Amino acid sequence: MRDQAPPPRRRRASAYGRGVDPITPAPRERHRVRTAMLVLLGFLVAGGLGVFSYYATTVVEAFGIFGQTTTPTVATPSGQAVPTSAALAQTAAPAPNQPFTMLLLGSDNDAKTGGGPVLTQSMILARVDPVNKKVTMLSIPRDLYVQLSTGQTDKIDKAYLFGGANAAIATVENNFGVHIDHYAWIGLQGLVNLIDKVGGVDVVASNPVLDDYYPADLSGSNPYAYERVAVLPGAQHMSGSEALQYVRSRHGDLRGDFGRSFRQQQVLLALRAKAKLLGFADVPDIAGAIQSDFKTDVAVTEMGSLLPLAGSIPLANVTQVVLLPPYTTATTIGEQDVLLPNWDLIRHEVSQDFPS
Amino acid sequence: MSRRSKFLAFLLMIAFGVGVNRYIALHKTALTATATTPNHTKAAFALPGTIYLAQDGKIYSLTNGDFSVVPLPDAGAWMQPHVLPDGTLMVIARGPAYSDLYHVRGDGSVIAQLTHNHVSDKVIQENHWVFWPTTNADGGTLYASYDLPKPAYNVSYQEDLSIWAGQPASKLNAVRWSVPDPYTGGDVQPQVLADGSIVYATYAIAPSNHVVSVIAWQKTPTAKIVPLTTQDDDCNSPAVAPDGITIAMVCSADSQATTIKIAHLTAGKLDTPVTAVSACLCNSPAWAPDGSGMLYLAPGDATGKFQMWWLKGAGTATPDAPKLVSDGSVDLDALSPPTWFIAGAKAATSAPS
Repeated sequence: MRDQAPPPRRRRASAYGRGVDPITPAPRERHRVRTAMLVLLGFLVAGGLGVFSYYATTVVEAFGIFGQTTTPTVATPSGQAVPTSAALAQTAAPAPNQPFTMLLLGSDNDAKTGGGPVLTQSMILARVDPVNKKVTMLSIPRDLYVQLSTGQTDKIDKAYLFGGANAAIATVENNFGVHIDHYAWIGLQGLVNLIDKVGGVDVVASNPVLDDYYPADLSGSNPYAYERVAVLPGAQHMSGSEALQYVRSRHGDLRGDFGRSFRQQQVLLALRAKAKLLGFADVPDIAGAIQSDFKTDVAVTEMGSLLPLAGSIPLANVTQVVLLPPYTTATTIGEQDVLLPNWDLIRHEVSQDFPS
Repeated sequence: MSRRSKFLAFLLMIAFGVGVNRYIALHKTALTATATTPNHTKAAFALPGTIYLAQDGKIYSLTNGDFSVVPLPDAGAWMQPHVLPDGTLMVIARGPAYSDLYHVRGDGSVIAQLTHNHVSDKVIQENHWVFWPTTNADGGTLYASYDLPKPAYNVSYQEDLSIWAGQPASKLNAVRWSVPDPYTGGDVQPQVLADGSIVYATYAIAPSNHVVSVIAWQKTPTAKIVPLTTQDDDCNSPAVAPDGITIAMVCSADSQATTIKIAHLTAGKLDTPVTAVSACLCNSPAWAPDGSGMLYLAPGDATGKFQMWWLKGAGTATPDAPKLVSDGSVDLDALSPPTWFIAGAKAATSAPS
């Protein structure tokens, strides 16, 4: 087969009356195209700067908040820190749409510590199943007396105090026999700011929560002072400080820390309800509100997919677990009120609620 | 491209960039929008008489569809108004570590401060709370939840509310009606029936280890309580209708959603409750003085700001659909039931059998 010759090019008259190649634009036309491209590029850059200026502070703050690295380790008898067996068994991040676990930590980052290490007042282990849209929340009592990953045997709330998020994760992984994919830590003021930034939370307060010995560490100049708290029962719209009083108070509750765990889970679910209403334009405000009071190893990119997921899970698919007796037994060790774990019962429960 | 065109294009680019920035900002959710104060809004429709309600520490009246601030003195955050048969009000002023009961006029002037619970700034535990004032039909006896008795400072953490009664002209804490389950928060929201007996919400720790509420009926201060609902129902916020036997209540079945149920107190127990409003975040039901319907508070949209709703024919076989009374931008105090005054209004009243 013979190659066909290309059709002869037609020439057209230019403005100057001379014939030009139609494929190659005239210099003036080229100039116009170039100008148009430059203008378009200018608008794109200007629009990009508009977006950047909106999210700039968020991006800067996000570097400090998100994507924290963790290597859960456990202390050996020789004092060496080695990765936990759970960490060794599963080091890769869970695949998209695979169930994942997250350790939620809440701390007294109050004036008493002078900015130093803090205890975790709240530990909630959550398992999220994105496909089946199910969440299980297990509240770990802060007084649970366990072998810490840092070597001591003490209350579990001290794991974070001694070794930060790594130690808290490792301690839970070792004792509960569960792998933790992610963690998030929030301080008191961060929780207050977060709730205020989402416009408050709607909670059905279970009962009158009265506490004459509530710490006034956030509201006054003396971190050791008390304030009187009275959160009244029933459906209500709580501000950040009201919600904090509701989840933090424990003196007026016969169930002590268990009662507080129930209330913490309620507020967490109320926050989840608000999360599904948030848009991407709200991110700078929220990041600005929690900045130094929030840390997580979840990457910013993953956070974008977690927020809609949080809102898509129906309340009926949320299982709440609190380790009441017989899972735990109250006793005193030294001068400390502690909870002794019944590991057989707890690990059986965990193996069912948190399958690997 | 002339120099002028270039400059114009540059300005347009800057405007475009700013426009993009503002466009994103405009797409922030309205969750944090500040609530409008009721006196800057109008009700969707007028209801007869005057309704008093609370928002953010102020009491508002609603007359002929117009909200006005009741100009009360600076004594704390005002809440939980209760109107008396003569049109005056019992109202709570809440401070940082105490609350007090005041008797005031509709114009905001104080007739009397009935409690003095601000005992000490140094030992704050010596202060007291009083909440949910109410009166019997003639206004002669006052009832409220009071945190008395309570242990001395540093003796124990116990702090529970009990129901107390007294004459408005004397001490409120004259007669103690209830002994709460310790460390539950106690007994709240008293309502008086025509025969002088009371119903209220009492809290207890259920076998599930959750704290739940039961509507209790008590004939005299020393009588045993009769539970009218079960722990599984988890009902509170009773509101007795003017007929004296119909009771609206908010039940949550230990969940984060509520249902308003209405039942009749006959032969010493409640008949099968009828659901008036379901799957809501409802609170604080309050009957119209003529019993023609019921007001309650619940969010109007996803922002969670509480609004006032009117349910005409509540408790009848054919109630209307709930209608939003407030305009949606206010954020009423969900813990302050509306209280309604119509001069001379009287409904047929019966005592529970």
